[in-house]
Amino acid sequence: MSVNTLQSIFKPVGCVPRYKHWDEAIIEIPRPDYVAIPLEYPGQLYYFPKVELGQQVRRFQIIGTTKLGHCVHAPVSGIVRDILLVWTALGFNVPAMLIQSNDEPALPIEELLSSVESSTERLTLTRKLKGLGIISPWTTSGKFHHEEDKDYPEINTIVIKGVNEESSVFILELLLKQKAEIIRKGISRLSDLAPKAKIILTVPKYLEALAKAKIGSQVSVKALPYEYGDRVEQLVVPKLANRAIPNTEAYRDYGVAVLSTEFVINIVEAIENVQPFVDKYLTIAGTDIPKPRTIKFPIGTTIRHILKSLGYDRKKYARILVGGPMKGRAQYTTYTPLTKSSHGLYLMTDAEIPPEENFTCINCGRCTRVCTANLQVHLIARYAEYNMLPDTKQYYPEACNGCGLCGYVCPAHRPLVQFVEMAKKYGTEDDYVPQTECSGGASLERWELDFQNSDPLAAGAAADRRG
Amino acid sequence: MLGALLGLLLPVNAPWWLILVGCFIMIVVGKKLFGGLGAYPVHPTALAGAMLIVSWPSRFDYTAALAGFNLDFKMIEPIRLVKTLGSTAEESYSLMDMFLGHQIAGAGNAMVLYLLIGGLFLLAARQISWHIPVGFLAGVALTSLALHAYNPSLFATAQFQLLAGSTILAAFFLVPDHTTSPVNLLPMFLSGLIGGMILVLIRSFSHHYDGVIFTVLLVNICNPLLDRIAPKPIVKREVVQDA
Repeated sequence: MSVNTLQSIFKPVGCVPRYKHWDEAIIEIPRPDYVAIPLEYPGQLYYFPKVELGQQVRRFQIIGTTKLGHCVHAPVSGIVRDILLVWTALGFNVPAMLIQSNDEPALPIEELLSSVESSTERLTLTRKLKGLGIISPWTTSGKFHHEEDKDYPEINTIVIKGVNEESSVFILELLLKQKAEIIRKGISRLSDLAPKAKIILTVPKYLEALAKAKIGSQVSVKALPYEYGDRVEQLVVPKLANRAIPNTEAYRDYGVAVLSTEFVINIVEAIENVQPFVDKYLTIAGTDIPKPRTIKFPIGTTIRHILKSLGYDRKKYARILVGGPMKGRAQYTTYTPLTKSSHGLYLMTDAEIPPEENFTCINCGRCTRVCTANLQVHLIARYAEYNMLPDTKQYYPEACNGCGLCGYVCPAHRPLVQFVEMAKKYGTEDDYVPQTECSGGASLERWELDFQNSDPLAAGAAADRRG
Repeated sequence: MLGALLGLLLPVNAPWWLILVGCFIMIVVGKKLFGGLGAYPVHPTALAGAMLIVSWPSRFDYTAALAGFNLDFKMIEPIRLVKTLGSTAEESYSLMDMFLGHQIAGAGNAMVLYLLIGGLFLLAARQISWHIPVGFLAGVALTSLALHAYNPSLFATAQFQLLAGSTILAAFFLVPDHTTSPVNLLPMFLSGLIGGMILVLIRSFSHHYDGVIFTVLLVNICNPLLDRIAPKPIVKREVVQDA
């Protein structure tokens, strides 16, 4: 019996492994051949395209707007080739605009600003944020962004996340460390936007001194412990804001705004006319990657391009997760475009993947005891498993934080998070039908095979015919 | 695991058919008919033990199992002697002997020291949580203390109740069984506590000598009720308007 086996026998339940080393440098990946920009974030944003098929767009040019004036921009210069149904990292099949990149220079920021300005009378700060693609607590309008504005309570607490909850994602800490000056500038902008708000910055313990020295004069710095269970956002934010916020409600309804250091940097870049929100940071980690690497990429880049440009062999990995090991979503194709909500990539090898078989619950109760939302996970999961979703309502599955600890500690390797999510969706969505398989999603792969290596003009003509 | 527990509970001279019938009841009736692992409402071993003890009381008799032996120790189960003669009979046993397992019992249910080692291993490996064993032992100790204080000549002392018979087996192996125990922390402790109290009450007042088997059955059927004491998740409650 090896030492590892002994250690695994006596290890405490719910102890998520953490990385000790990671790459501090932020790598900028080479420009992708094409990007796919999702035009819909179900339940949140619906962009109407503002460009035509075959049209040449330049980096930073507006390619779509919502009814309320939120804009989405081209992250690369190129030709609009198509609008396809694409499987996104969030698990939705949505229309996405395909831009085949070329060497056209980026749109000067002044031209972009004038195009934003022309649609309204004057350029207010919130209008500018909207026009530069920032969905901030000051420019949202309801839980579903297509609804009309409603009255929100005044923001009294701003929580800035300086630490990612996933143990394999480091973007927020790296940005805090490397761009502290910009973040300090951004935070003073925030106090202009919400003068009465108390600003709290969460940091990992080892950065507490640095954050206090550089930014501490404007915010109260709060160091978070290393345990994953203590870093779950839905627990940390209500604790810092000092009020109970149910998961079904938006923070904004309680006068709380939750931002991240990355977001603050985006706001500064938008306000100071540097660039709209088109680039995203992401950490790549995995079991056989000793040092996770953080990259910067244009939104809409596919996983395939990122792996290829960093030299990872995608065939080596049995599962590729967007997110981290706890909350990440497994992708069935590497053609998935990464969006603003993709913070990490987690590459899993065969050895790490639990057996596919769905074992029965042995009622050990580890899931329930480790649950950060005090749910009776074992009961909800069994009701969901035996197709008795209406009975789960009495156990409030909508309170689930989705932190993934229940599935992590389960000795029977049951898909507990997925069961609770089924129950949650059943309770909150009126017309929810449990889905057993996903459809579509291969369209991007087909597009690449058909068009990428062919003559661009012919490709454009074919796109016209289909459009 | 279940088979091993039943083996520990059976008397040393159990005939082969008793074992066969016990295993049949345990696996087919107690476990599989209820849906297998994770679904049975009461501990199958306790169920099989109860069936055997009720059906063949003379065969499931630890003291009678010694009819053919002639050895130099007290030839009677400690609990039976105390039940018959009152707590003065405790003096015929040394606590150390009982701790090392030198007492009349089934095949292994009174090997206190070894069961304790096994139980501590389960605790260290986090297969069971401490709440049930501690609650159970506390229940046994408190109830027997109270009874002994009420009538010292009739009821046995706490240390005797803890060491005699299958108390330790129940505390670490039978009551904390995953499937039949509660999952929340307070209910787990309560379940142990109630189990300990039932055990001492059965030993003190009922017709049976070692009440562990019936204790496990009784406390198992309390558990769904106990498990309703659960922490509340934070949700938006709907405000009921007064008419």
